[in-house]
Amino acid sequence: MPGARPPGPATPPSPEQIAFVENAMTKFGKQTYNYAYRLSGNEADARDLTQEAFIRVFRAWQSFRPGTSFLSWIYRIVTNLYRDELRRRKGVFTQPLPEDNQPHEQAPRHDPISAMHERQLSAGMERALRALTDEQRSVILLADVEEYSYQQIADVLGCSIGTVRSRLHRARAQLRKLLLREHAAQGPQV
Amino acid sequence: MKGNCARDSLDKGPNADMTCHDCRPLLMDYAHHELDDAQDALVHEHLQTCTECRAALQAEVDLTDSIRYAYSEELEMPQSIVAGVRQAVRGYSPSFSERVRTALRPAFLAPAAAIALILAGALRYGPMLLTPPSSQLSSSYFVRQHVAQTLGSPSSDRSWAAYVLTSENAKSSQPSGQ
Repeated sequence: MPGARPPGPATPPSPEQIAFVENAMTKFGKQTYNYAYRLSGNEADARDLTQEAFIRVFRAWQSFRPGTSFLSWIYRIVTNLYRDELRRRKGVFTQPLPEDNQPHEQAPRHDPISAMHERQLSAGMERALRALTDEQRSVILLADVEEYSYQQIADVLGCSIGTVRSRLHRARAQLRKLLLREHAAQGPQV
Repeated sequence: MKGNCARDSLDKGPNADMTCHDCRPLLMDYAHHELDDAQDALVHEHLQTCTECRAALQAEVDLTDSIRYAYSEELEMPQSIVAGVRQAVRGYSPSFSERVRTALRPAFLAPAAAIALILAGALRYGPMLLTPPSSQLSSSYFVRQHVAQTLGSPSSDRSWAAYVLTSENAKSSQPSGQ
């Protein structure tokens, strides 16, 4: 992941510019990091993607149009960075999660059997989601997790609403297939 | 999904505009509230009477819920990111292209373009505006025009003058014996 350029003897950034990025990190840092984590599938890449995205925000702060959604803007930056990095690494981006990087455990359920069943379902779903292409995963993330409208998704992904619709249809159909395979591979549950 | 639900077979009245075959491809967009009002109303009406399409809609909703559940973990952003960004901010120096882009921002570019247009207009049309318009007509212009026209016209060819009946021509055309 490309980092910041080395320091140079140039004019320092304006206080407004610094305040803009500080404010953005405070308000949208967590959401941006979670989006990057869900997209890339591991914390190390999510950290790099988020940091680079905020550095881009800092550099291009004046191109942000007030009144538009900042989150859509930074999601677009993260998505583009992810695509670029995916291309650079020739498609190998998502690494299997190491044990110490697993997401925190869900809040314990009252019913241990149903909690275990849900964990199994969730693990199967996570594997299926990881098996999608990055385009399919990003459209599902934006539509179903972030609850973005098709227009907002089109803005983030830089495509038409028709493309969003067809991509989402295909992604969900593919996800169903993968879930069926997961279900068949796991065999009958308790 | 092959159009064999109860509504298809039983309800074919004048209001039965939507069949299961029409409805199913719209269910995902319906669940995401992405249909236009007319389509949304048609799907909604169809779902009131079609149990199979209702089940298909529920499957769409369940899939969305499962996705949300799988992604329900909210991680805190590590402070190392904030530190990394701050470090980059401290060492930031705009590149040449960034400086050019800043100079080309509308706030700078619009007044510069306006000034350039005014200067170009002044150079092109300034002398004409500064010279007072002439109040008199130039008679020599009309004389030159007239001469140019008449010299090139048939009226300047005098070869036909011999055939015009004048007193001098009449004398010369009389028979010599008389």
